[in-house]
Amino acid sequence: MTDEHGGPELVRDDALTATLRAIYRKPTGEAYWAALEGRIMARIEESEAWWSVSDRWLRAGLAAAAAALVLAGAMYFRAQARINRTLAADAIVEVEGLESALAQREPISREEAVLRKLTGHQ
Amino acid sequence: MLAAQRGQRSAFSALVRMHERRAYAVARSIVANHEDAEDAVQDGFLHAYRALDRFLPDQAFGAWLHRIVANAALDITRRRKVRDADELPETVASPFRDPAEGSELRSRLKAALDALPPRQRSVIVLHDVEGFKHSEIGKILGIPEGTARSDLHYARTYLRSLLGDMRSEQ
Repeated sequence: MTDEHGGPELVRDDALTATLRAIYRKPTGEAYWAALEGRIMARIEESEAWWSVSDRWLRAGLAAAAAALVLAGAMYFRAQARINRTLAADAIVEVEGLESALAQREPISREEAVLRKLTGHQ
Repeated sequence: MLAAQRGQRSAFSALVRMHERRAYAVARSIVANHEDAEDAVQDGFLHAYRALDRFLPDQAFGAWLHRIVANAALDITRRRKVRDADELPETVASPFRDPAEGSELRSRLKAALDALPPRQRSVIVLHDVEGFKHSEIGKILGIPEGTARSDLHYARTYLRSLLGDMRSEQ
């Protein structure tokens, strides 16, 4: 027997074809195919349910992440402001301390010390 | 088809009923056993359902679906290859085991089919068992029509020579 497209290279062997058909025989019975259809539709429903649940979780997750980002930003700016204030105060204290240290180290004469005592300036 | 694209589940169910046998045949021509063919059909229909909005009404639904099912079957084959490389071989009981399976001709032909390159095996099954044309096989497997034709030639020659040897032995 030859193929519908002809050509000696495509000669069909009926015994071979019959054996192949026996090996690759499809399941028979309507019940099998109805069950397979049921399984396919069940998988589709499951997958849709999963997607809708994951979609809800995704939205909730995005909202939570946005809130966390805003909170983290606010905390960062507050912390930064506190650090700036502390640094400014430290700078002032540092300058005042330096002045007093210099004043302590300043040599004064006996007369000047007496004068300071009399005038009340320590 | 349009109803299925609008999301009507019962319309898609009708499409499944209409095309599942042919889809199974396409999957079975690619994978090694019945169980994998069932999985490929289910995966294929699921992918098709998700991609329905990309289906153009002027296309043939069957041809579009067969390509998707063939890809699902090829995915399963690739995954199985990786898994089989990692695990010891395991015998799976098939609910469709043929009582005549033990016949020498059939068991030798099965062994010969396993030895064929996978594409050649798919081509001969799709053509000789399922009656697909070369052009349809080309579209399903994503190969040129001429390649499908030459694959069929090589597969038939190989299997026929095996049968010839067996006949001359008898």
